[in-house]
Amino acid sequence: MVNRMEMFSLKGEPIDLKVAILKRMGYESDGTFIFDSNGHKVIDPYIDEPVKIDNMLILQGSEIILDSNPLSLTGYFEDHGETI
Amino acid sequence: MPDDIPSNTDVVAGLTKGLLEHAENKASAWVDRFRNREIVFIEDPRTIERVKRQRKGPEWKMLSEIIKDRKLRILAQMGLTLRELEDDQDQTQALRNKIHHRYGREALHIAEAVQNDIISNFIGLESPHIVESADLTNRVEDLLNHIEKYVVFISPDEKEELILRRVRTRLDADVPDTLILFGAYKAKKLATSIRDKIEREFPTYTTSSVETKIKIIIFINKLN
Repeated sequence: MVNRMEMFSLKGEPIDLKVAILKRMGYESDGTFIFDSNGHKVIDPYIDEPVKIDNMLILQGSEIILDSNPLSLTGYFEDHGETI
Repeated sequence: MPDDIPSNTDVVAGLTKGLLEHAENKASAWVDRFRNREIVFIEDPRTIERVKRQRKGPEWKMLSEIIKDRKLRILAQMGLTLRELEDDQDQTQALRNKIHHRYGREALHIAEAVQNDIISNFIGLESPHIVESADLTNRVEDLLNHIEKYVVFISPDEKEELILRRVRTRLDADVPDTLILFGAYKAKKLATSIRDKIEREFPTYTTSSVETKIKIIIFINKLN
């Protein structure tokens, strides 16, 4: 049986909270983009574009950070199954 | 100012520190829940809900049985999403840009072919003649992988004679055995006119059309 995860909406949450979540997960942000522990911009592999903090999606599966859009989500579901 | 009354600067600094600490504590609790696999973070949950709803829909159920290639599966789902977003120009354009940026122009045509019911109608016409499901998969994936060869998307700004020349060239070359013309809005009339001319000029081909108020899909098949 697959346990569905709850979705925590970041919409309307203050930027400080988003940055704090990212920091807690080992990332940094300049308020627009997200950077990994090596200082590299986090790129969404499904759209080949940098992820912006105001439209991010953090999913399970080695803590993957994506842009929140149908193309990325569909790619993720194809690769990992519908776990959400 | 007396020593025991804090300055405005001190008050602001204290407030900022308090807010940051509050955010950090809150974040810590949420991240713990994330790591316990209880939650995921998303800007707008409606995006996930839309994608999930679509994957449960009857058209994707049918297409997903037939289309096995990962990239084609993603693009087919994007076609269904584009159809759902048709009334929202900004969202449609944003998604089209993302598909184009990641996969290129031909991929966008694959998604458009699904969006405009071309693929579902093609499957409807082909499946009665195909026994093995693997053969249907090959036929549909071949069409999607060579979308420019099989489908002529008619633009309303194109000259009829130029489109006719393109269609004639393909039919004369006998490749492929199915050619699909698609026209929407103003291009629908143009597509219909081209079909009529092709029917007169190519007696070894047969045509069938699927038509709605705003669009037409014309299948041109070689007679066996």
